Amino acid sequence: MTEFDRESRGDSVVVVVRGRLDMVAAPRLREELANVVGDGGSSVIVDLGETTFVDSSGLGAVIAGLKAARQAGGDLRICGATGQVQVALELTNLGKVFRSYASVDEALGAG
Amino acid sequence: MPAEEDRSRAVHVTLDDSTLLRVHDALERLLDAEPDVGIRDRILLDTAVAEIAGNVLRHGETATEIVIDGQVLDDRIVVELTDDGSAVRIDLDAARAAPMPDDLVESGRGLSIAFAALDDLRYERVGPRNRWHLVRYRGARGS
Repeated sequence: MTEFDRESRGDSVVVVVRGRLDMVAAPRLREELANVVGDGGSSVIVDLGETTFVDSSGLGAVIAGLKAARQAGGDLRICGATGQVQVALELTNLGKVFRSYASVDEALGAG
Repeated sequence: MPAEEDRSRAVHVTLDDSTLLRVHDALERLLDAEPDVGIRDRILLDTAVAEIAGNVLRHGETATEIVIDGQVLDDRIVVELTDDGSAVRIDLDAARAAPMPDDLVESGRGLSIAFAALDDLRYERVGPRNRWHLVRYRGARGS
């Protein structure tokens, strides 16, 4: 079962995605990110360091979060993408859409 | 594809919330049979197979199972996904030629991802089943 953890770090909210981010888990991440933004967290970092796999549905959920954050006047950054997740970002050219960082700390520092 | 006598490696996966994970596991076992399959080839096949299986889950209303079978050859890896859902209406040539959806579009990337990850992707209706034929040349595209 894919798990999401939410953690406040200063003015940002970090959402950690653990496990597979596929079409089964994507709707839950979409809802989680909408809730984060709805709760006032418009500076969002999605930590993909423990994400083992992402498909088009999972990428769509992160894009939805990016749009929600921008509409709220903020931004969404991603960090920690490796392996298949990194390849999926390359295949879709989404690596240039998201501001992508190696770690949460690096993403926070860039905020 | 494997000869008839070799088809016992085919894995039947029923459709539920764990389907994609079990398809992934079946692909891993298939690739593990050949120890020197490169990590990038594994990742790209895994990525493409998930998109095709996801399409079956999403659109194959009458499908009850996906059968995954394949073969690791010297120069390429061939994976076949078969399902018992209704016929897929798709213009694969048009889909192949279509660009990746715009950056902020939230859906519709599945087939584009599969095409980008593979060297060949074909679909055919065979009797009551859909058959997807995926080919990845080993070590292709600089990997």
